[in-house]
Amino acid sequence: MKILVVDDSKAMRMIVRRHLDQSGIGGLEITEAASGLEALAAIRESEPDLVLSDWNMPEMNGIELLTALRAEGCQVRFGFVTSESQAHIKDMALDAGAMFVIVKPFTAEDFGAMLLRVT
Amino acid sequence: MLLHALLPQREKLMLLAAIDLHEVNESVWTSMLGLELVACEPAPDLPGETYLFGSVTISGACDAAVMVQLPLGMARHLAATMFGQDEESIGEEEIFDALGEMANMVGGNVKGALPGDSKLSLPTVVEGRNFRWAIPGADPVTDLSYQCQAWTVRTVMFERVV
Repeated sequence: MKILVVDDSKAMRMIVRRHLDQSGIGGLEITEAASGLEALAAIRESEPDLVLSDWNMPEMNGIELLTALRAEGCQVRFGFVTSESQAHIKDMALDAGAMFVIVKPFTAEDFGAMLLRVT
Repeated sequence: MLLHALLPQREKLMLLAAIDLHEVNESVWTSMLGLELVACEPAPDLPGETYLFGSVTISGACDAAVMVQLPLGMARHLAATMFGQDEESIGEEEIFDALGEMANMVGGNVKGALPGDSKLSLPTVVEGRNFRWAIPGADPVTDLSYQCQAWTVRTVMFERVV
């Protein structure tokens, strides 16, 4: 399963990658993007099976990325990994086409459960 | 709890006063990163020591800020933990990135406990020695100090009451 991790923080990309590795789900091929714009290009080029995106990022934030993808007809499975935990944020994410929202701080079990659900 | 008692008594309603910053810290620092925090009394900054401040602001339900303050050694240790690398391999960019993300996570969880619609800023990180800082017009609502291994960690929530 090809997963693209999108976060402007390299530290957070490393943590997400580590938690995915520890999730107990094998066969994950993880790549990274440091911004929404970089992610757009990466998704067009490599067609990942799942995108895990931060919400707050400069230039193009996570919801703008998701909206742009859906506007061009891309239906890639998409979830947020974010510090944004308010209910209206989750509603906005789901309305825009996200499958789930994982709130930071998270555990490897959170990722394991999510991967089982989306695969 | 003792630290709460040391804070100035506020007559006006402060939304952040209802938020348990210690619980937020424990979930981010300890549960997620495995860094044990031991509450301690606040200590003055050490003269000549380099400190880093990571902060985010919250606007909407209230005007607030969340700040995380660390000495450089602790910031390097935090970054090494987050990156899963040795401290020797951690550079300035990684330290700033890690502390910014830490401020973002703590601030995001504080924001998540507020009623209504609020916005979280992108994080800011400052490094320096012997400097003073302030958020004009805002008061500290909760100011917590911890010992983490050999270093101190301080987290503060500020709120401006109009």
